[in-house]
Amino acid sequence: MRLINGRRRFLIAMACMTAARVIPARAAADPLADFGGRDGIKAIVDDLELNYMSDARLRPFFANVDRKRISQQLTIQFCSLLGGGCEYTGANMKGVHRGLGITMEDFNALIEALQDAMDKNKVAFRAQNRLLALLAPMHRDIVEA
Amino acid sequence: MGHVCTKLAVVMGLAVAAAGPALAQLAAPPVTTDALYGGKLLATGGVSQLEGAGGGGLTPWALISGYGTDNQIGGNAHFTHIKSQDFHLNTYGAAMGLYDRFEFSVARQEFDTENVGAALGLGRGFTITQDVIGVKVKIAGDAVLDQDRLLPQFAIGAQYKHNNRGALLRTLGAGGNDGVDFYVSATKLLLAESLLLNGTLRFTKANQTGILGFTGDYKPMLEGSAAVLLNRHWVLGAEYRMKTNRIAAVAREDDWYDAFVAWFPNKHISVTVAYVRLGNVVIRDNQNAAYLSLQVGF
Repeated sequence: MRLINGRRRFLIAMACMTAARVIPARAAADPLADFGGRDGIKAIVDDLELNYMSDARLRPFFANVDRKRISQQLTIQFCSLLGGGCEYTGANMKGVHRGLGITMEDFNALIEALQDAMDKNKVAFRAQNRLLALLAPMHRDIVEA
Repeated sequence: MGHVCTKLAVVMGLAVAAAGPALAQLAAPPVTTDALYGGKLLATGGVSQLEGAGGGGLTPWALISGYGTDNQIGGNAHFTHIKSQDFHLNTYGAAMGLYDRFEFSVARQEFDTENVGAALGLGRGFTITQDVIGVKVKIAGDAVLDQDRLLPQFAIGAQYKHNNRGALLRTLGAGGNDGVDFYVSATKLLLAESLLLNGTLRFTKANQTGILGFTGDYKPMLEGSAAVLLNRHWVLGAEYRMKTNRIAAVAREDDWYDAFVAWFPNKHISVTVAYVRLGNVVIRDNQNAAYLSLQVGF
């Protein structure tokens, strides 16, 4: 070990850190563990509903719809996306958002509402980002204005 | 009478305030009236780069500065102070982002030679001032939202630079005092890993960003950034910027490295602190600098 010079030791340390980042332990156990299981996801979605209804940018999109059903569907969808063993059979994203005139700033506002809900439910930032990474590509089906 | 009227006005005001949202909801069309600015996610406009573009501290990113989405505009102003053992640099400027597509920026860099100016016979505190006008266009991809694709966000940009010490720089054999850098940047947020990566290829004639003149033909220079998102408000990263080193006989130039922490308390302010290794600057070797940058905007 003493033969390894400073730079090589630094590179090895960096490689180990990188490996630790790229191959995390998340493959093990319950994929919903970071979110408090299915109950945790339901609590997050309930808080999301509170958040979007108290946000002037978002409220108009949800004021006259069946929010209970939306929350049920979102709970199943999040669970399904995270590999939690739920089967999402709900509406097609493009279909249900067609004609609503949702802008990029609306889409981002909902992401912020979800981040706040996950913060409130003590979901770790890195776990939050894993869910957001699964949701973000849906902007292509949802944003149209 | 006036007192009663005031009371009445207050009561009416409260009634309107209470009923207003309900009435507005009844009257609301299915589409919101969206805000004109501030629709991007926190920190996704980056900070202000040394020459005024949206980016990290040393290098431009493909992200468009400010918080405007594709329907909005964004803008900001910045001040940056960089202090090494023997020099300091102040830079300040402003940037505007249009529709998350175009970015325009202006910056002024003031490089103060402190005691080195005296040693060179130029006078203590001899200062070279350079103005930079930048433009950047996003050409493909979405660094933040396209999380199911590896394709980064690409932007191309140019920075026109002009400094005020042409006569001196020609005497030193450092060429002219104005030039244009061209660059292409690729930026990708690997959100599931909370990691942001950027690579920039810059074509430049500049010595020390142009503050020491512009020499010879265009050379390609690589720049890179890697940053870890610690939470919504804190970003930790490191950067690298290759330098041309074309006037080595007069003033050797070394590649730059930095390590930075950026804090985004909200969408109107950010603070970046960094440690920068500048190497040799003019006639002083091993310059290490503290970097502090403040940005305000929307």
